[in-house]
This record gives sequence, C-alpha cells and structure tokens, in this order.
Amino acid sequence: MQTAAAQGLPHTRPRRRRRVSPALVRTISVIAFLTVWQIAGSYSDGLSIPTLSNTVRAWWKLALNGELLQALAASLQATLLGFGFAGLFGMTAGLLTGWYQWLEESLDIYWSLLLVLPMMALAPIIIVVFGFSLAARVIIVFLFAVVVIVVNTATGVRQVDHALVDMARSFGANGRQLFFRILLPAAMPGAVAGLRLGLGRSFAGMVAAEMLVSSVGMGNLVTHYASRFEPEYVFAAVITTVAVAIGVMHSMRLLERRFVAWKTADRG
Amino acid sequence: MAEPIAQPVARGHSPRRRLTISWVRVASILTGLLIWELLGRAQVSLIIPSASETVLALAQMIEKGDLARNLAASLGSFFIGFVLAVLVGVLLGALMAIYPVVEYFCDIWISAGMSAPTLAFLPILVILFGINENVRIAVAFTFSVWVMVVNTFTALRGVDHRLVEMAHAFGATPRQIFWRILLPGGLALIISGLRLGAGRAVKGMVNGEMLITIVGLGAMIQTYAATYNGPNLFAVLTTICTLAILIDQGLRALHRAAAPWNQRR
Repeated sequence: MQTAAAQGLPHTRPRRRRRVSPALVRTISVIAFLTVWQIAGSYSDGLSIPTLSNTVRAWWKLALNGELLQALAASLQATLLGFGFAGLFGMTAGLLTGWYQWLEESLDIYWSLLLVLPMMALAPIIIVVFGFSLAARVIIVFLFAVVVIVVNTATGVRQVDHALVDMARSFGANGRQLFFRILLPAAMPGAVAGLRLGLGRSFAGMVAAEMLVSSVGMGNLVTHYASRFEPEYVFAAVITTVAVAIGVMHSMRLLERRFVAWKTADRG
Repeated sequence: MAEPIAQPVARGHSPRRRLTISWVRVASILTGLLIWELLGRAQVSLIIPSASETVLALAQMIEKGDLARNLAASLGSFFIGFVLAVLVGVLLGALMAIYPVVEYFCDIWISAGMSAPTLAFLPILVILFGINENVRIAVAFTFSVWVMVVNTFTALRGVDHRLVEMAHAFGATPRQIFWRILLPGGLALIISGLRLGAGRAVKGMVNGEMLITIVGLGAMIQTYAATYNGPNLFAVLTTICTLAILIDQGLRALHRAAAPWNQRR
C-alpha cells in the first residue's frame, strides 16, 4: 500500500496497514492456551491442575467405558424436557402477556423478580417438595428458562406495528386471521430470541440441578470424581458439558438466523 | 463474536419501564401476597411458609445479626470479584475494539464464555483456588466478566464512524479520539453491561456459595433448606431479591448520572 510519504508528501506519518488473518490469530490463541495449560499442569503438584495430556486421556477413558454417554444422555433428557415445557408455556404466556395490556402490567413485577432471583436458591425448595427425581430436575430447568422466554415473546408481540393490525382489521380480518397472519410472524424474532436465551438458561439450570441432585448425569460425574480427588476426570467432564452447551447454542443461533432472515435483527 | 447484550432486548424490557403505581399493579401485588399467605397456611409443604411467617423470621434474623454477618461476607466477595471483572472487562473490551489482533485472539474465548453455563466452571474454580475467600471472588468475577467485555467491545465499536472521521479531519490524536469520542459514545452501553454484569455476579455469588462454603447467604439457604426451616429460608430469599434490586437501581442511577444525554432508561 502506497504510503503518503512515498507519494512525496512531507510531514505525513506513513500509515502502515497490516492485514492480519483472523483465522491465524485465533489458531495461535488456541495453541497458546493449550500450551499454557500443559505447562501449568506439569508445574502444579499433581493434586490441583491436571495437565492437558492427562485430561485428554481421562476424557478418552470416560468416552470408551460409556460413562460419558450415559451421563450426557441423562443430563440432556432433563434439559430438553425442561426447555420444551418452558418453551411451550413461555411462548403462550408471552403471547398473552404481550397482547393484553392489563396482564402485562400485573405480571411484570413477578417476571422482574424472577429474573433477579438466583434461581438456584429456589432449587432446595423444589428438591424438598419433589425429592431427588427427574421431575425435580425438569422443574428446575423449567424455572431457569421460562422467564426469559415469556419476557422476550411479550416484547416481540408488543412491537408489532399497530398500523398493520389496524390495516388488517379494516380489511375485515377476524381474530384468528389477525393472530396467525399478523401477530405471530411479527412476534417471531422476539420469541425466537427468547428461545435462544432460554436454551442457554436451560443448560445453566441443568448444571445447577445436577450439582444439587447429583445422582445422575454430568453433574454426578463431576462430583463423583471431585470427591475422589481425580481432577483430570473433573476437567474432562466439565469441558464436555461446556462444549456440548456451546455447540447447541451455536446451532440454535444459526437456526435463528435462518428463521428470521426475512426480518432484519434490529432492536425494533 | 457474540452479540452485545443491551439491557432492552436481552431482558425484553419495553421502552417505558418506569414502575408506575397503577391499580392493576397494586392489585396484583396484593393478590400475590394473599396467595402466598394462603399457601403457607395450607401447609402445602413444610418448606413453604406464609408471608407473615417470613416477615417475622426476617425481623428475627435482622435482630440477631445473623443476616448482617453473612451478608457482609457475601457482599465482600461479590464486590471484589465484580470490580475486578469491570476493570478487566472494560480494559479487554477496549483493547479488542481498538486492535483487531487482540479481537481475533480473544473472541473465541469470549464467545465461549458467554454461551457456556458459567456454573459448570465451578468445580474447576474450586480445584484452582481451593475452598476459601478467593474462590468466591473468582466465581463472582467469572460470572460477570464476559458481559463486560462484550458490551464494552460493542459499545466502542458502535460509535458513529463519521464522528471518528470528523475528529481525524480536525487533527485529533488517537488518544483524544479515544477519550473524547469513543468513550462517551459508548458509555451508555458500557454501563448497561455493568448492570447486567452486576446481576450475574450476584447470582454467581449466591450459586457458588450454595455449593462451596460454610458462610454467606448461599450457605444459609442450604442450611435452612436442609433443616426444613421454611420461614428463615424465604427470609433469606427475600433479602437476596432486595439486594439484587437495590444493586440494580443503584446502577441505574449511575447510568442516569453518567450518561444523561442517553435517555434510554
């Protein structure tokens, strides 16, 4: 790139633009992280940070003897069930709340309260009432996810252009047509965003539930190996959980982009 | 790169969120309290107390000083962890916004941190820090730092480029551009990130305490739950809610004070 100095203009600082390849930097970043980890692991005295190699070995062992798959299946079961219920209930509640102003006014304090409360604090209550069961875990996941879904769906509904509604009415649309042709499509971006956030919260709920109800699932793996002072297994389990969660979230985001491609993702 | 979380969209708040005192709201609150009272009286479960029992328990706890002690412990860790997260988060976000190399270096990790269920990292934090004050600070930090970075990054990047060009044209140095244009322009979103980060830090602190230590609000919850002490348990929950709301309102006030020209909240 021709610098100003090269063009013969005096007193101008040459602006050097180096195009750095994002992929290269990212790869270096990952390698650097893994290296630091390996070094840190070999320097700590065995009882704390496991080395990268040990963790990989531990992961492999867990994968081979089926423990990992079993735990993952149990965890995902509770997560998907909880998220499913939260989605259904949340979207319905959100649609209603968004449409009926009085409903929104009366309930919004509760949504705010639930958003602010660390859901995990409610978990012991759930466990006392429902015991250490799948139901308890599903309910905990449900509680984690439902509020975000309701609030975002309601916002989506509220942001429907009223001009569209009026226009449809003036053309003689009845309630049903209004709902399916105007409301629903317009509220979609908000609802889908809510679902995405709710999915993230569902994973958080799953982790929280399993750390308290640790008889099955990934949480169980973690507490089991933690109590046996085998940190490489703990690391392996945690990283798997996190990786699965990130993977699912990423796919959800791609799906969301497909779904609402027809509407620009602005704040409106 | 993860999208920013500006308070409005992610939380689904409608544009006018001033809590007006309307009949519907008052009626709703009263109904809620009534239902709570009835549920408690009906002894649906040992662990669910009535509203009146909770208030009594709360008064008792305040009197005995239990609450104050544990609250201090919790708040201490929360504060240190959160402040660290703000410093690191804003600094990193700013560096990422200015230098593309830094951005590419960090963005996978930041995205991962945002998407991952932060609670899952708890066992790793315990392994790294042991069971003491440090791990609680680390928890509060880990819960809030990602939001700070993302919001700061987006805030600074989102400043109108024409303003930057104009400043260039007037001969501003990079330093002046940063302090006079970028920072004020992005302040609103940064403080929004602060509020979200604080909320997450509070949750992280409570969640962490429930699993790790023997002191703090989270630990109180565990104890009371284990001993089926409904009234005290709910009293602590009420305290946590109030605490979180106060912190949020405080930060809102900060927002208004710091960026009054940006009247979004």
